[in-house]
Amino acid sequence: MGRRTPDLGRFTDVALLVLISLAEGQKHGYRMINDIEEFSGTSLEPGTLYGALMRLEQRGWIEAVESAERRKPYRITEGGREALREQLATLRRIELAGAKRTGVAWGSS
Amino acid sequence: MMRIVAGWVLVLYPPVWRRRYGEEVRDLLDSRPVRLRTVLDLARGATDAWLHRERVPGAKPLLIPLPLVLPITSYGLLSLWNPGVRDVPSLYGVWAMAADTGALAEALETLATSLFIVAGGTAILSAAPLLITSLAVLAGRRLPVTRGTALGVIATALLLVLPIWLFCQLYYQLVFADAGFPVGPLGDAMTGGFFAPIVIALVLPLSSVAAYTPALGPGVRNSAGTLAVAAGCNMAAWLPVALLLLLGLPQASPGFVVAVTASALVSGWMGAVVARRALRQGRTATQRLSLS
Repeated sequence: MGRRTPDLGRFTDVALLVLISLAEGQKHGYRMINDIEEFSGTSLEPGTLYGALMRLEQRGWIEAVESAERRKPYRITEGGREALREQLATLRRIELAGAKRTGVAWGSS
Repeated sequence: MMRIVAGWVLVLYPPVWRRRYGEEVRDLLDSRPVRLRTVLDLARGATDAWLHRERVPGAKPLLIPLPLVLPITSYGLLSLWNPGVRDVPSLYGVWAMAADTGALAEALETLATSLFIVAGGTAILSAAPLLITSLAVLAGRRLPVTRGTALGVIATALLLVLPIWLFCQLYYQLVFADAGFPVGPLGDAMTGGFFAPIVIALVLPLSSVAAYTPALGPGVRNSAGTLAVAAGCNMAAWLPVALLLLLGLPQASPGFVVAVTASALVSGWMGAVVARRALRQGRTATQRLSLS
């Protein structure tokens, strides 16, 4: 699987961050932005976040949870978990290849 | 200030996107810092949402957007009037023959003119509930995004004053001040049918700006109902015109009959489309209000 997922375009990285965020449980937009900023240092703006959510929802990787609240939570689907596993595996292969070629192993000084 | 601008940028997103995500993004804008970067990101997101509109859950195939359809239809309607309907021999001939029936022709002419004026006047009045609600929102303690939309409604209304006034003034000059065409009482009776739907269409942007803001819901709903009445009057006004045409039909050229029929259909359709959109916006606003 290629690093840049077809159809997600420039949202590939944001989509990965969203899937990782939702992997620990359902969240609405506000909590997702805070969570992503906390674990990745990436500060997302609403236009970018909802561009990614739209694509992930269309692919069936996430789904909205019914709520009467103004803040609608989203949860990851089985298809989304599978896609996340594949993307993380790809990242791991890239990391291993990078570490091998540069002699740098993450976490070691 | 940036929060208000960001609220306005949300209006640029496709309606289906706003129905699906609009409230959530408004909530984010209310609860997070809004900077220039946020506004630019939203503007970029709006372009992306239009380019990939089919990806929004629940999106149907894109029809030609109403803001594009209405100006084209208005142009078509005015093109039918000039020169299609301004067929002088037919206008005089049909009226002369219809007038032989006595007071009926004059009554029909007065009825058509009055209904068209009522249609245009009601359309202008339909802005009142929305403006009153917007002013009440501005006077109260509301979220900045809500206040920004209310301000947007008032700014849109101010922008629309001039074109609406120009159309009304032109209609008055043509029908009541004898500034030139239309020709004779039949021309007077029909002219309103070319102006009223355009005035009705000019009022629609007000409810479009406000439709997704729950606090403005009552104004949108009342405005939509009044606009539907205006569209109904516009349609009804063509009936006495049709009767006048039937009474003097032997004097009408085929081209004149076709032009008047097409004008009535386009005029009525335009009013109906605007009313339908306004009523739909009224329903959306009511649903948003009950959820908020």
